[in-house]
Amino acid sequence: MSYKEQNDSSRAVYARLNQKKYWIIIGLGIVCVVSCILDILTAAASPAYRLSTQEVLRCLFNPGQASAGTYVIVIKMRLPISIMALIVGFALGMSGAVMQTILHNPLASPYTLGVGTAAGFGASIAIILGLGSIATSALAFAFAMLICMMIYMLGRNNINSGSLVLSGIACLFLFQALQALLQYGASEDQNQSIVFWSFGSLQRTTWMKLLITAVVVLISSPLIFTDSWKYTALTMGDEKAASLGVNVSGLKIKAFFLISLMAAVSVCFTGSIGFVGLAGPHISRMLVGEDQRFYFPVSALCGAALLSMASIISKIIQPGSVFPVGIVTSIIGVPFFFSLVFRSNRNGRR
Amino acid sequence: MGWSHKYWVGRRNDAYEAFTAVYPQLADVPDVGYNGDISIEAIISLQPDVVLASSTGANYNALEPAFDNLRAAGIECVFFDFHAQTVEKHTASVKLLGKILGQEERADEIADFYTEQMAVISERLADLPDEARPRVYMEFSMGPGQYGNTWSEQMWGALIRECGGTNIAAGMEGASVEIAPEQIISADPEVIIFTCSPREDVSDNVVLGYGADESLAREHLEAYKSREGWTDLSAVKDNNMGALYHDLSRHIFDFAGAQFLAKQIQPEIFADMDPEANLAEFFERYMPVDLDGVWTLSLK
Repeated sequence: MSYKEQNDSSRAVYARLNQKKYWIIIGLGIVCVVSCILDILTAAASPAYRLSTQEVLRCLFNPGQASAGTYVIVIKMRLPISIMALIVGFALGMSGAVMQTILHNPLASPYTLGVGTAAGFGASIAIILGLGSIATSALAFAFAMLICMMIYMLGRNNINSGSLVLSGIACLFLFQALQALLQYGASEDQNQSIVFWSFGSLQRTTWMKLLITAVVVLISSPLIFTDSWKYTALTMGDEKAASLGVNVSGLKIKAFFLISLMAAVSVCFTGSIGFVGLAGPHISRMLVGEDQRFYFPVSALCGAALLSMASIISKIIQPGSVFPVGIVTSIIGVPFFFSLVFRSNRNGRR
Repeated sequence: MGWSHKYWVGRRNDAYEAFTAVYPQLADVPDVGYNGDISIEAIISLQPDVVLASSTGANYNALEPAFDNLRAAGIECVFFDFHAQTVEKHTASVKLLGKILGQEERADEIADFYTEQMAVISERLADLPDEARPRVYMEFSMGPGQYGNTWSEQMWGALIRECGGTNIAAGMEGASVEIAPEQIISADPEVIIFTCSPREDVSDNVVLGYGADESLAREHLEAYKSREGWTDLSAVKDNNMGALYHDLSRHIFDFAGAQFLAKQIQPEIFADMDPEANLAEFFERYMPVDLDGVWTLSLK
C-alpha cells in the first residue's frame, strides 16, 4: 500500500469515527428534548388532582386559552423547572469534564472539589441571619466563587501537578467543618431550613433564575468549546501541550474561571446536586473518548439528560410532593454509574 | 430540676418568654441537652426523682439506652403522649402527670374539661357524609415566598378529617410532607389554614401565639393571596383563609385548635361555638400564665 493510499484509508476511518460521534451528539440532544417534554408532562400532584396530558399540551401551545390554574402550573412552574434541569445538568456535566481534563484527574468535579459545600455554607449564613431568598442565592454564589479562588490560589504555584485537587479537597473539608460549626450553633428551625436547602432541588426555579443561569451557560460554554483542540493537546500531558505551543497556565486559568462561574450559578439556585458533574465526563469518555471537541459537549449533554430524567423520577417517587432531586441523582445515579464503570473494565477498556 | 433549654429557647421562644415573665427562676434551671444532645450525666447529677419526657421517637430514643443507668441511680423515666392527638392518650397523659405530682383531682378535672370540649366536635360531625366535607389545605407558615410543610394522615392532617374536611394531602407518605405547589392549585382547596409560630429564619411568616400582634399577622396572611397561581383558588376568592398558633396541637389545650379548625371548615354546624372563649376559660381556670397575644385568625 502506498503512503497516499494508507493516508486516504486512515482519513476515511477518521471521518467515519467522527461521523459516529456527531450522531452520538445528535442522539443525546434528542434524548434531552424528549426527557424535557416528558418532564413537563409529568405531574407532581397525586392522581386525584392531576392535570391531564391533553390539558398540559393545550396550555403549552395555546397558553392564552388555558384556565388560570393550569397556566400557572404549566407555564410558571413546570416549564422553567424542566428547562432548568437541562441547563444545570449541562453546566455541571461541562464543568466536570473541563475540570477532569485540566486537573488530569478522573475524580475531579464541582461537587468533589467542594463548590456545592461552599455554596451550602454561604446559604447557611444567609438562612441563619434571616436575609431572605435573594441573599441566600447571592451568598451561595459568592462562596462558591470564593472556594474556586481559594483552590486556585493555594494550588497555582504548582498548577501542573495534583496540588489543585489536593487544595480543593482541603477547602472542601474546611467548609464542611465551618458548616458543621454553624449548624451546631443554629436553632432547630434554622437547621431544618439549611438541611432542606442543601438537599438540592429544582423547585425554587423561577423564570428569572432560569434566565440568569442560561445566560451564564450560553456565554461560558462556547468560550470553552473554541479551545477544544488546546484541551485535546492537554490530555497528552501539560509539557507536550506546551511544546505544541499551548499556553498551559493561561488556558487553565481561563477554564477554571469559566467552570467556576457555571458551577457556582447552578448550585446557588438549586443547592448541591452531586454526581452529575462526575458521571457526565465518565459516560462521555466511554462514548466518544478523549477528543475534547466531542468529549465536552457529550459530557454536557449527558449531564443535562441525567438531571432531566432525575427531575421526572423525583416527581414520580412520591405523588403529591417532589423528592429532592439531589438525592435522586445520587441514589439512582450511583449504582447505574458503577454498573457502567465495571462493565467497561471487564471489557478491557478504561 | 433540669430541662431541655434548647427546646424552649430555640423552638418555643414565645412560650418560654411568657413563662419566664411569671417565673423568672425558670431561666436559671440547668440545661440537660435536647434530643440527641441529652446528657444522661447531667440528669443524674441533678438527682431528680423522675424524668418526664414525650414519647416521640427523638425523646424516647435519646433516653432509652440510659434506662439501666438512670434506674441504678434511682431515677425513673415517664413518657407522655400528646403527640398522637387522641382524646384517650391526652387524658391518660394528664392523669398520669396528676398522679406523679399528687394533683389527681385537678388532673381529672382538666381531663374532663378536655373530653367535653372535644366531644362537641365528634358528636356534631358523627354523621357527616363525604360530600359535605370541603377540600382543605393546611400549611406551616414560612412566608409566602416558600412552601412550608403540610400533613397527610397525622397531626393536623388527621384533624382535618376529624373536623369535617377533606385533606388535599391525604394519603401521602410520611407525617409532615413537602407538597408540590402544583398539587395545591390543581386540587383547588375551599379552605386554607396556616399553622403559625415565631421562626428565627423567616420574617414574613404569619406569627401567632403568646405576644403575637394581630394586625401584622393579618397583613402576612393576606400576602399569601398573591402567591403564584393562588388568586383563582376557591378558598382565596371566598376569603376562606385562616391561621392558628402551631402549638394549638399536641397540648392539653389543643381542643381550641380543633374547634377553630372545625369552625373554619364547617361554619354553619359550629356557628354557636366560640373556640377563643373556651381557650380563655381554660387559661383562666388552669394555666399559670395569661393568654395574651392572638392565637387564631380568620379572614372571614
